[in-house]
Amino acid sequence: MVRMYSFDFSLRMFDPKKYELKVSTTVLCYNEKLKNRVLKPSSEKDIEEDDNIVFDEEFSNMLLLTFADLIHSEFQGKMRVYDIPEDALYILKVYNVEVDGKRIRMVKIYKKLNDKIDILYNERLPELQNITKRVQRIKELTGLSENDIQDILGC
Amino acid sequence: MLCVNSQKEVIEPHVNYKDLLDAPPERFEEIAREMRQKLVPKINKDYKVYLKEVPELKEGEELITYTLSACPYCFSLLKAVIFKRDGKVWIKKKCPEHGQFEEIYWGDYELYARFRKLQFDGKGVSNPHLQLLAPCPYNCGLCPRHKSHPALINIVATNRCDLSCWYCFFFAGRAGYVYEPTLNHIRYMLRQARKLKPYPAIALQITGGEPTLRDDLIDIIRIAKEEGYTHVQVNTTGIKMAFEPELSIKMREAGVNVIYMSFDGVTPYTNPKNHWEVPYTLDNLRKAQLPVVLVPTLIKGYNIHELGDIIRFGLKHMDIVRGVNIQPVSLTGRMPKKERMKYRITIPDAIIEIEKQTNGEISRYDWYPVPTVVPISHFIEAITGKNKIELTTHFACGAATYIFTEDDGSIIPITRFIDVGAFMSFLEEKSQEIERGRSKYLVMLETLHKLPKFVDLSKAPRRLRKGKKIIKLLYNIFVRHDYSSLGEFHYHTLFLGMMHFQDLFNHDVARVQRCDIHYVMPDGREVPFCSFNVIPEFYRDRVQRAFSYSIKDWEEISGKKLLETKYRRNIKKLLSGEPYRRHYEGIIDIDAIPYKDHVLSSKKFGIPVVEE
Repeated sequence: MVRMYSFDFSLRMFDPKKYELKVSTTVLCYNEKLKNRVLKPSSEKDIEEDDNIVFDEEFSNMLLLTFADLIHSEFQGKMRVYDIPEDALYILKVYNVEVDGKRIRMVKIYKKLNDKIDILYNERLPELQNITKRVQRIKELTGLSENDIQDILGC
Repeated sequence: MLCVNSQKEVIEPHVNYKDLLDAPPERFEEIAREMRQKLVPKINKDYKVYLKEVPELKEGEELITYTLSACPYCFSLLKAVIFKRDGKVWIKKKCPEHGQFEEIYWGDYELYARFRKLQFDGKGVSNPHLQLLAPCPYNCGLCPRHKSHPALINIVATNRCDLSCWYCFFFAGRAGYVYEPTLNHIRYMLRQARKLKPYPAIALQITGGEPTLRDDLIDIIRIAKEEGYTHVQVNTTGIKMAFEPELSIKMREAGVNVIYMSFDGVTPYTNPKNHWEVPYTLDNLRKAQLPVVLVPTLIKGYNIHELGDIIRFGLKHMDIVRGVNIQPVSLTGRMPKKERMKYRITIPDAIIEIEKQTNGEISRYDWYPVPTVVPISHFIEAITGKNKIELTTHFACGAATYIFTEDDGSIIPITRFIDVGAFMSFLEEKSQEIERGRSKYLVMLETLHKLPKFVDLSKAPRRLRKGKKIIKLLYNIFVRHDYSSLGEFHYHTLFLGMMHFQDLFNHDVARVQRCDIHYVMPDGREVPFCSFNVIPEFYRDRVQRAFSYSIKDWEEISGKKLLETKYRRNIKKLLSGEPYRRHYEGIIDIDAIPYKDHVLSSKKFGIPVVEE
């Protein structure tokens, strides 16, 4: 069984800079016919020190947020574990991000092949392209319809 | 290609470097990829992780923040607390194996709080060289955690040195091997650093050891230019350049922009490294029209009292000296707290000392943290739509200001006639307006209209007052992006900078993650300064040793003897030359220092003196 993780958390940092962030994640699973369903976590726990590398894998390149930033902050959050269904083709992590009061929706796409999951598409907050380019790129990579992608990206 | 080094207790990967003398850059890329996996720090072998232990605060200690740090003795990753006590900022951590460590982090809380307001973070690196396999700072290379792109890349050209300073363990003679990458290996490393996105490195520092000892230094500079580095500087003691005038000319012609020269004080007592040679080096740099930045390493109880004079020396020679970049000492090795406190100085301590020694001409409020200038990058990016380098280091890493002089010798810091804080806030606000869709042209018109509000002409240096020259300069730079104006701005200006590199006692991972001064290593990893030099056991020494020659091999290949290059100083000759008096006159009482003191200072430092 292939497993994946997601994090929901909020933090307030004062040092070395003032920064407020809230992140909630929805995990969508697409089968070969591109039918989707929202995955339910198989378990959930508080984010702990031992999760530092997994946390950084998830957010360091995407939001430039690291576990060291959590240590610097007042934070609370949960880590969730998902069992990926056998028939999954794509897994989409949809992130609702609120940075200093500004809301953005971002996405990370994984492709499942047998027992292996590879990242197919990854967005970075500092280099986020305009919505048309993002929709086009996701469509090219997955074959999802533009309407579906726009819904996912919240536009 | 790989072999086991049987001389070491710990088996370390090693390359037979003498077999690679003619290898092309592509071969080095293959070897680097293979070696990188073997050289990265390993959990439970090299370090442990103890994040459950949280240091407690005592009465009178006020929490600022928590952070990650390393044990100075076993390198274990620890949780640390940064806190305020007695108006200063401290860091404290507790290793389950080696106990508690407490260290001064910043010597003045008021300046800490002021600098913190000016923190900006960067855009990181979108194509890091390394995957995430270990916690920070044991995954340096750069990894996806890194928040700043490189502003300056260092490349170690050699670990050979013509000096044997008592405190240095890095040079070939003491290290027991010679690290000296071939030109093709250097080309590979420089290419590797240029691959990073969204901002490839464009500024390079060639360092050592003593880089001028390499006979092919000029080829290294040419390679750097070929590989796209627009700014090249050489970090040196300047000693060789004092005796070889053509060396400075050749460096300038090959493309060196500036020399970074060690200069720890104005007397032989505080600067036994190159006190006597500096006047001759400066004259040769003048002939080559190659500017220099003086780099004092600041140690409490040793050279702090000369800070004002070091700046005055820079001002006296500002025809060729472009800046003074002060580096508070980084304390390496096992050192008890009492001894550390004897030598430790932090950025605000130095800033306050300069205020005292210049009678307030350069006050503590004239200094700003490095990221202060980030709004300029944001503004130019917003106007031009092109990526612009951002200096997004941690606010506690560095400080800077510019000073101007009048004909009567008085000093005017830039902050006395430009409201730097308000101007930067204005630029940031305008960038955000453009981002939100406001017309660039309207923003430029508004900027043009409002620029004069940030300048107090009555307090500007006389030459910048005439015809409102300073306002025209700012307009050319910020609105027209005409950087030729910068030359005019820099005329009769001295840059003052400070950069406090960390050590394991004041080590803060938040600073490491924001570092923008990196080293490119022979295995292709690009490592922040404060990992490369602060944990040399995992980075600098481990990796350079892996790509080194034995001294015997190097001597066979080069046809030289390592000890042949050791410098012997003829103090009498240097003292009697006209440049010596001309350079130090008005700064020190030259005739008050007895010859025997000169000789003793040099010898104590480890540089032999000859009289022939």
